[in-house]
Amino acid sequence: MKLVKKHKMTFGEADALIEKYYDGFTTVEEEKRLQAFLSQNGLPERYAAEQAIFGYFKNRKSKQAFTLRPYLKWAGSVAAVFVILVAGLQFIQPTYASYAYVNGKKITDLDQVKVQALNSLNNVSGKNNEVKQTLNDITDNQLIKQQLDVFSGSGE
Amino acid sequence: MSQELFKAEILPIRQKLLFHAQRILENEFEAEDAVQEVLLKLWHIREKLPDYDNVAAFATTVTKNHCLDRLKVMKRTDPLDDSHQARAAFDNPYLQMERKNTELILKQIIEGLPPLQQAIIRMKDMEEYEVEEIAEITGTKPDAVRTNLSRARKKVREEYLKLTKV
Repeated sequence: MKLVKKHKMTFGEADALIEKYYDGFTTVEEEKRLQAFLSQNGLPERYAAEQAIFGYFKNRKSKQAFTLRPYLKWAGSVAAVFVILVAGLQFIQPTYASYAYVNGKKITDLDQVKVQALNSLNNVSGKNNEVKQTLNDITDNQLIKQQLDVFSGSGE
Repeated sequence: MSQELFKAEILPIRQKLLFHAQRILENEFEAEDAVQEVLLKLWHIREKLPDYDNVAAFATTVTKNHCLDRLKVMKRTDPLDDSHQARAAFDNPYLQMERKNTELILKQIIEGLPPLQQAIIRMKDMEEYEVEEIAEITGTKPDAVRTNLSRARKKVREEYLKLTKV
């Protein structure tokens, strides 16, 4: 096969190819070269029609290539596998991540971790109850007295 | 159906299809165009052709229906009305605005080409077939395909310039 050296097409070459194109004599390869030439910015105004026409065809080609069914089928499968993997990882990760630190020591045994976790929760709830109890102990009268003391500034 | 099978099964009945087309259309050139169009249609659905028990009978039916449709269009078409309609369609303000949309303009121009020219320009400029391949599929000479292709391309340019001229 002949190795075609890539070079920038001159206006003269482009004009000759465009004429050949309108006569129906260009090959697919020549049309691709012409398309590359016409996709450049800043070409003279006389190429405007060809730029639009070749641009349109290029667009149609890429649309056709993109809507190929086998491609979509594979894309669907890949997406499905990805979703399953992500979902699976989210379920699996918390199980591996269960551990507790007791006095600076890491415990990974699930039962022990549960015991520690429950103890912590009981401590927390116990403290809440204390707060509630303290609040109940303060009667309305005491509250009013305390507030009046603050405003009068008399202290005792 | 591969290209070889298409050539082996469909192209030999070309003469028979042409005969049916001529009988319906009563015009040699119209019939030739119609058969080429039918062969291109069949080419695009070649994967499904083996599903038919009798491909030759199917091709004949497609040709007859295609010619009858063509006949209806020919009878309905009044050249004077057509040109008026075309001019009016591009002169209303809404379409004048849309005229700026290159893609839409070119789509409309290509859709307005005669069906055979439309099919050939699609195959050559969008599907990247060589002229010789299209000639083989339609059972014609490359020069005949080139003539239609050239007419189609020149028409697209001419119409495009006409419609985008400020």
